[in-house]
Amino acid sequence: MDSTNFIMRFFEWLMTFEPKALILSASAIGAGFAMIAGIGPGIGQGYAAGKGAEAVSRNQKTQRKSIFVMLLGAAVAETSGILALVVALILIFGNPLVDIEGNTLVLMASAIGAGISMIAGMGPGIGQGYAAGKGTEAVGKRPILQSQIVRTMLVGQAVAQTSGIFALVISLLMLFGNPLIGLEGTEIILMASALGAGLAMIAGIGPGIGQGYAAGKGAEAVGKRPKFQAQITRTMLLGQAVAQTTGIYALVIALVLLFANPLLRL
Amino acid sequence: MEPITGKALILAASAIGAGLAMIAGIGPGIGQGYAAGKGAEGVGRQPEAQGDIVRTMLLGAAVAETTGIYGLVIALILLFANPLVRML
Repeated sequence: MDSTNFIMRFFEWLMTFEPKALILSASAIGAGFAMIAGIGPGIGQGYAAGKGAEAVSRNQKTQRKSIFVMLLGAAVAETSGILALVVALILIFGNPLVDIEGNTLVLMASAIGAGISMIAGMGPGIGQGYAAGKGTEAVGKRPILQSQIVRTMLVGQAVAQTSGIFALVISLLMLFGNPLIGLEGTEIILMASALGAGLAMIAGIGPGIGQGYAAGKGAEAVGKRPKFQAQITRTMLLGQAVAQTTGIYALVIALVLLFANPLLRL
Repeated sequence: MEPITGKALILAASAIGAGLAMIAGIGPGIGQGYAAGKGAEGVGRQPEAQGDIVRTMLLGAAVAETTGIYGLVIALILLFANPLVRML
């Protein structure tokens, strides 16, 4: 093939380095990608903090309860940030890809893909933070309903975590049980599939934000009409289930790319 | 490294493209979640209208789903019925 082809040249240049160096540098990039997830908890918890300040300014007597709900909700919103941190730390300190025998390019792509996948954590962070803020606001208004409001908030937040967990699963699969590494096939297709699987999981941002919004509104509604908690929660969960669909589509595409890749057979 | 054939390049790009297409899922997720929230709010305000509220919410959510499905269709085409390879 004509070596003026820039992709070929790029790969030839890459191959002048030793394989280990390449995998390690890809891991560094992957770790960086993973940490982008931190945007989410930042936005979400900031919203919760704002709602906390607002609640306290409106009614100082409920300060303790408002702050408790704010911190509880914000702690949940932290989850995806911590999951991303764990993946980044694995890539940096306990990278399993370094010791694996396999195609260097595929291993590199897996490290980067595992990081990209974690970007999805942005969604749950924002959504759960919104729920925390709305929960805080509702408790600040009617502190007597704290337990009902918190219960609906936590249920909603738990659902909002789903797509973050999907992303974590794909990320860990690529690091610890990567099916692409042992496969026979054109290396550039294997490599691109690992990247594609990671990219697909970014979709998880949406369900995370949306479901978190629903959780917040659910908590708000329970604060207004606690008698109808069951109906409110049911409607919230139904809507959240629908909001999950695109996250599941992304998971399916990522799993197809990893385990039943049709491109390798073409 | 073995030379990259044109076909391999197209297939590799298809894998990345399929992944990128799925990013579209962000939108329906956010939008449908907002609808779910407003649905919960509405049922809280008027519990006796739950049926109507949920129906309207699901109708709206179904419309919001479309672009997510478009993304899925493109990804599936790229993976399983890739027309680009045949054009080479």
